Amino acid sequence: MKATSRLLIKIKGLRTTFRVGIIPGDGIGLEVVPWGQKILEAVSKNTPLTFELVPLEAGFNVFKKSGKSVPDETMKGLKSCDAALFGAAATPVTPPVGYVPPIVDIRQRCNLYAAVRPLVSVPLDKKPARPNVDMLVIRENTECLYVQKERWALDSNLGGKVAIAERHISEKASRRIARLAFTAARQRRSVKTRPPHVTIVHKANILPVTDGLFLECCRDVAKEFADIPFDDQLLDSFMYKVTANPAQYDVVVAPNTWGNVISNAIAPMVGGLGMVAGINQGGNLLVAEPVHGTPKHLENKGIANPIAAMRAAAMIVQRLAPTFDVEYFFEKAIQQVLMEGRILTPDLGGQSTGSELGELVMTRFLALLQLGSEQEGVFRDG
Amino acid sequence: MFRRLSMVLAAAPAKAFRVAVIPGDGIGKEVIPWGQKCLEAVQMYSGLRLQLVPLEAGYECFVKTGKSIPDATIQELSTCQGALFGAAATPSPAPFGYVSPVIDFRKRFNLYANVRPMKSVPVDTPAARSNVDMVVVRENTECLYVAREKFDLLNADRVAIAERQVSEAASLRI
Repeated sequence: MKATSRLLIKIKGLRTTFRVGIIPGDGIGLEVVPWGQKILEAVSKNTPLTFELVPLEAGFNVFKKSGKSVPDETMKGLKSCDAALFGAAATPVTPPVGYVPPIVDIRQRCNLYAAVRPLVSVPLDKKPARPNVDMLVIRENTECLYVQKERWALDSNLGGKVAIAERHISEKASRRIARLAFTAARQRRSVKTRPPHVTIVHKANILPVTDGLFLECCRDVAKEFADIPFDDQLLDSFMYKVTANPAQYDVVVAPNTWGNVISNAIAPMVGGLGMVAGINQGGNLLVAEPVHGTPKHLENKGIANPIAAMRAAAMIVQRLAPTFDVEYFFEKAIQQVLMEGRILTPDLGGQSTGSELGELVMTRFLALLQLGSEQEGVFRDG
Repeated sequence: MFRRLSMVLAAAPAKAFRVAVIPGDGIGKEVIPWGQKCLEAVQMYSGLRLQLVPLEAGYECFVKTGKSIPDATIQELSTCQGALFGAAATPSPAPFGYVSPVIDFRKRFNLYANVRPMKSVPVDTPAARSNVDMVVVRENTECLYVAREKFDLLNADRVAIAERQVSEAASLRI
C-alpha cells in the first residue's frame, strides 16, 4: 500500500485491526467458510486492514459432543470479537430437548436484533433470475413466532391434541427495527441511484393486535424520517407483487416470520441461496452468514457455491471498514466471473466444483485489490 | 367431453343444483357475470340443471345495511350446493362490527379446506413459469386465523401476543 494511504488512515484515526470469529458449523458450512476466510486473509495481506481470525466451534455436531450448540468458550470468544463469519448448522428434524439452533442462540445472547439481507440481481440470464433487483430486506430477528413459546392446550372441544404457539410483537422491538430500516434507507440514498423507499410488510387485517402494533410503530418511527417515502403492504399482496415486479422495491421491513419467508422467496430471483448473504446485527457484534444452511443433498459433494460465504466475509469488511469499500472490488470480481460464465457451480447452471469457483473468484478479487492499491484515491473520503 | 358429461347425467335422475352467485364489491361485480355466463353455458349444452341464486355480501353491503352478510344471504346459502363468490373489500383496519364474508362462510359452513390449482399458462411474462401443474391445499380454519390476540405488559413494555393453533383434528383432515 502507498505510504500516503497509510498516512491518511493515521490522520483520520481510522481503526485498522479487527477480530473476526470464524465458525464453519456443520455440513457445507465446513466447505464454504474457508473461502470466506480467504477473503479476509486477502484483505489483510493487500490492504492496511488486519483481520485477526479466531476459529470457534458451534453447531449440531458440537451439541452432540458437548450438550451445547454454542459452547461457553465460543460465546466468550465471540464477545471479544468485532464480527463473526458463521457457516451453517444442521437442523435435526425433531430437535432434542434443550437444543437451540446456534444462530438463534447467538442472536438472543448477543442481542442481534436485526437480520439484514441485500438482494441484488446477478448477470445470469436464465429464469428464475430477474434483472434490476436491488433491495434490502430487514427482518426483525428476536420475536414473532421465534420466541419459541409453544404448549399443548389443556381444554379443547376439538377432540384430539391441540397445540398452541405464541407470536409476540413488542413495541420496543418494532420501533427498533423500524428505526434501523429507515436509517438504512437514508444511507442507501447516498450511494444508490434509485429513490429511497421503505415497504412495511404485515398481516394486520388478520392480526390487528400484533401486526397492528408492528404497523403502528413503523408508521410512528417514519415520522422522524420525513425524507423517506414509505408504504405498507399485506404479506400475501407483497409476495405477489415482488414476484411480478421485484425491481420496484428498495428497503423492505417485516416481522421475523414474514421476513424469513420473504428473503427465501426472493433468493431465486438473484441467483439463488448460493449467492445470498445476510448480516445479523445489533449491539456490538456483526454476525454474517450465507443464508443457505446445510441442505442434505449438497453435503460431501464439493459442489456447494462458496460465493454466499465469501459475500458474507466481504460484508464484514465493508461494515467494519467502510472507507475501504471492499464490496466495490468484490462485487466487481463476482460480476466478471458470472459474466464469463465459464466456471459456475451447478446451482448457477454450471458443472464446476465449489473449489474451482472459489479459486476463480479469489484470483479476480486479488487482481482487482492489487490494481486498486496501486492507484491513488482508493480510500473514499468519508 | 360434454358428450360424456351429458351421457352420465342423462343416466342419473335430473337434479337441480342450487348455485349462489355473489359478486360482492369492486371488480367482483365486473368479473362474476362472466363466471355466471359459464354456468349458464354449461347448463345449456349439458343435462346439468342449475338454479342460480343471486345474493349480496361484502363491504358495500355493510355500508348499506350494517351487515356484511345479510340474514337472507345466510338463509339462501344454506340451501345451496355451491356458490360463486367474487370479492370483498376489506379495509385495514376493519371498522367495528365488520366481518369479512369469506371468513364468515368458512366458519359457518365448515369450509375447512382452501384448494387452489396452479397451472402454467402459455404467457411469456417475466414471472411466468412453464410446466407448473400443482394444487395447493391450505388448511382453512386455524393457525394464526383463530383470531385470539391480546395485549400484555412484559417488563413495562407493550407486547402484543397472538395464538397460533394447530390441532390434530384439523391437520389429519386437511
